[in-house]
This record gives sequence, structure tokens and C-alpha cells, in this order.
Amino acid sequence: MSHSTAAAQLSSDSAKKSDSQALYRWSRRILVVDDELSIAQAYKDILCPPQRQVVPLRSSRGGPSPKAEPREAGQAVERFEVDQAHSYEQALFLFKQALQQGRPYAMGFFDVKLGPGKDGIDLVKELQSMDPDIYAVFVTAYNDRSVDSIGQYLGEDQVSRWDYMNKPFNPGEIVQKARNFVTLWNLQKERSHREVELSEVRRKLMDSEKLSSVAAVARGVTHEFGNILMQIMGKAELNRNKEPEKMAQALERILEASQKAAHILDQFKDLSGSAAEMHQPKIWLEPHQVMIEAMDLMEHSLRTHNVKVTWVKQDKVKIMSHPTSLLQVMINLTINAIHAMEGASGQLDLSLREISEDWVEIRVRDYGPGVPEHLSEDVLQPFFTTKGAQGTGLGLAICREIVEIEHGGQLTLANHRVKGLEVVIRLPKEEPHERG
Amino acid sequence: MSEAKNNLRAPNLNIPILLVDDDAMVRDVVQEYLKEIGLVNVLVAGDSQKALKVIQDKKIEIALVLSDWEMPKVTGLTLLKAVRKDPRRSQLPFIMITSQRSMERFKITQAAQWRVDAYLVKPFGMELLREKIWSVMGWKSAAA
Repeated sequence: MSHSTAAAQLSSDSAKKSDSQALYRWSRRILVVDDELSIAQAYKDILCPPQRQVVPLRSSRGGPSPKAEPREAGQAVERFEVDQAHSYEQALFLFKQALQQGRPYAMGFFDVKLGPGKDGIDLVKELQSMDPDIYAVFVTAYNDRSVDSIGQYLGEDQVSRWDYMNKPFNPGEIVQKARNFVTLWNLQKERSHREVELSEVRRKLMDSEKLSSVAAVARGVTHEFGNILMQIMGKAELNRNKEPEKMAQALERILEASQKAAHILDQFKDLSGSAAEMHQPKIWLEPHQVMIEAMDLMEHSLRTHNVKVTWVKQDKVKIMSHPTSLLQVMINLTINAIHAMEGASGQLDLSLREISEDWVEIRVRDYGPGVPEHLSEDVLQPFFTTKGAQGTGLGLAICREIVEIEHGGQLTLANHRVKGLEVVIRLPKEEPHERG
Repeated sequence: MSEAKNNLRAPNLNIPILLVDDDAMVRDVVQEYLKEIGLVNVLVAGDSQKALKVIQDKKIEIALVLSDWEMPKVTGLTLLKAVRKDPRRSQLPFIMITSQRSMERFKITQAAQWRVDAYLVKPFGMELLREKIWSVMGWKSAAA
């Protein structure tokens, strides 16, 4: 099987996989440079035979079949797109024009002797300085330059980009070289095309993930506020002309609804606060200090709920971070833990470990019932809450936002094998792009 | 759904109406609105599954559905589809309640395929609710 068949197979596969991706189109453009017009034309006749000689791909077509004898297998015609140049300058002109039009030549056949002055090897050197990807085949009747000296002259980088053949050549040799180099050139272009596409897709995916978490928060808020306003508006409208007791009841409900709205806004203030902080430079800080501060702030709540805090590990290490957003993560996780252990006295295990040269890991484990398996992904989504009216469901989503988007870290959660839920946060000491 | 003006009927305030919303507060307010308007025969459901049971109950013969769109598990659209697929209830007047203004276009296209009769965007007042119901039911307005 020839290269081209394999590549055609590849490209048709990728076409099946996704119609949205722009398909790479093969180019079969060849530049022929020879100062003898008849020789240049001979190349063209071999590489680009006149149409009528082409065997129809579908012989099952109706109508009288052409009398042309079927070609032998292996000699099936491949049509190349051939441009001829008869001088150094003309070749340079065609080459530049092709580049400008974004239709570069895959390869060229270059006569070494191009009349007085510069030769075909000089030409290739100049062309490759503009487009190093072009393949060159030198054609010479005289051994005026040795293969080694050509190699030296064109440079080591281009060593795989040229070949040579001696006159007189035979048509099969020319087709063979053209086929090989055009295929090679296209396979390489196709690969880099895919790589560019792939990195594009990756970038879009990251962007859309950032957007979708913001969008999810926005959607949730609209819904929550729609319901809350419904309550406020409805209660006011229904009771504005009612007796004082009914009005008082309605006002009570309106107040409740307003407080719920205010609570959601508070969470948002936190979220937008940390969003604003995202644009501030991070500072070097010790995460264990932040964790201790969080426990201090939560001290009252921990005490009234009978929750004991235990440090499992407390590495002294510095990371680049925003102090308030990290504090917020710790507070949110503590609130969740206290809530999970509601009713019973509990314990909160904290650990801060330097897990590698570049990463630290924070673990927060409670001794509550854990999260049911099927909800473990849901709990990280905005507005998922198990707390009824007490929760807005933003806590964990904000934590994840802070850890993953703001710090380039990772937040996962899993039920502890013995009891409770364990949240694992991995933070890079420095985000890679901040280094250096 | 709106018929020619001269074909408008006198309102029948006793028709059984089904109100579906997962938020008890919203249900409460809308139910009070309906009562204030004079529509007293109101059944409520907290989710689409319960709602569908009520709709399919031959003894009740629900005449109008008011359903929230954004409900956990089974959305209002799924409920609407189930109603439209039931040959006996396929013509049942259906008003969709939503709070998602930004997604309105998408939702309208989606719901149009399943013939939603009217929309109400939260928060809405009593008068708007009355107008929508009157229009969907083809009732003669008291003022006219």
C-alpha cells in the first residue's frame, strides 16, 4: 500500500470523527525548474498527463467506454499540479507568488545547470530560506557538484529535504520521487494541522469550562431570585388591602424572602471579591497560617456544635496564593463539615502536606455520613444543596472555582473508607506560568 | 389558542386547575393569586411525576395546567411532552412558568414544538396571571 492510500484512509477517518473540524486538504503542487523548455515540458507530461489518458475511476459508468487500454496495476495515474520555470528569476517569482497565495509547492525538480550565474542549488538554498518545508530533487547531467558539497552547502537542517537524480532520467523514477516527497510533505503538514487544531480545541474547552461555571452560577441565581421575588411581589400584592394581622404575616414572609436574597448576595460578594482578587498579584504565604485563621474564625460555631479540630499533619511550606480566597475555601469546607455532622458531636481532621517539590495537599475530613456515591459530582455544582433553606449550594462550587481556576490546583472529594467525607485540595506552590 | 373575539366564552371559574412548582413558597403565592382571581378549584403538585398522575386521573379532568419549567429531576418541558403525547389530554391548555429570561429564545423554540399555550416569567403579578389564563381559556374579559 502506498503512502497516499494510507494517508487518504487517515483523513477519511478523521472526517468521520468530526465534521466540525476543518479537514486538511492534500496539495500536489510541484515546481519544475529547467532552462530547456522541452525538458520542463517532459516533466509536466509525465507528472500531469493530459486528461484523456486518465483511466476513469468508475468504469461502471454508463455510456460508451473509452477505447483506451486499461493501465497496468501500479501504474494508476496520479495527477500532480505542475508549474514550470525556465530561469532562476522565474522560479523565484512563481515560488513567492505561491507562498503569498497560501498554496506552497510541496516539492520541486531543479536542474543544477541554469545557465550562467547562480545554479539550481543556489536557488534551492534561497527557496528553503523562505520555506524550509519544500522538498528538492536536483537533476543533473554532469557531476559538477558532489553530493557531499550540496549537503554542506544547504546545511544540516535541510539534509532530509533534498535528493538528486542523474540525467537521463526515466519517467518511472520521476513519478516515484514526486509521489514520495508529495506524500511525505502532506503527511507532515497534516500532522501539524492536527496539532494546531488539537491545541485550539483544548484551549476552547478550558475557556468554555470557565464560562460554564460562571453561567451555571448565573442561571442558578436567576432561578433563585425569580422564586424569591415571586414571594415578595405576591405577598405584597395579595395583602396590601388586607386587615392588619394578615398584612403583618405577609410582611414577615417578605422579610424572610428578602433575607434569603441577601444571603445569596453575600455569597456572591465573596465570589466576586475573590474574582477581583484574581487580578491582584498573589503573595507568598503559609497555608497552615490561613487554616489556623479559618479555625479561629469558626471557633464559636465549632464549639457550639461540639466539633473537635485535629491536626493530622502541618507542614510549614510557602505557596503563592490569595490569602482571602484560600481562607474562604477553608471556611466553606468547615461550614459544610459542621453541617454534615449536625446533631452529633464530631471531629474535623486537617492535614497540610508538602507532596512534592512543586505541590502541597490540604485534606479536610469530617466524620459525618459522607456523600452518596451518585451525588459526588453534583455536590460540586453551583446551587446543589442538601441544606434546604439554610444553604445556597454555592459553597463547594466557589471552593472549586478558587482552587482550580484561581490557583491552577485540583479539588476532589471522596468518602473516607472508614467514615465521613474527605475533601482533597492540591495546590501548586506556584502556577507554572508565574515561574521565572 | 386565542379564538376570535366574538367566540369568547364566559369564564368558568370552577374548572379544575393544576399548579406545579417544586418551590412551596411560589406555589403558595400563585395559589393565593388564583384564589383572589376567583379560581378556587386548584390542585397542587411539587413535581412533574405527581403532576402527571393528577392529569391522567379520569375522575378529576384537569382543565388547565400551570407548571414551573425549572424543576429538579423532571422538568416542566418533560411534563408538557408527556401531556401532549397522551391522546386524551393532548389539547390540554398548558401555561409554562419560568425565571430564565436569558434562555427564553431557546426555550420558546423548544416549547413551541410541544405547543405551550402561554408563558409567565417570574416574578409576575396577579393581573398578568389573570390575563394569560383568560386568553388561553378563550374567556370573555369582565371589562369587555
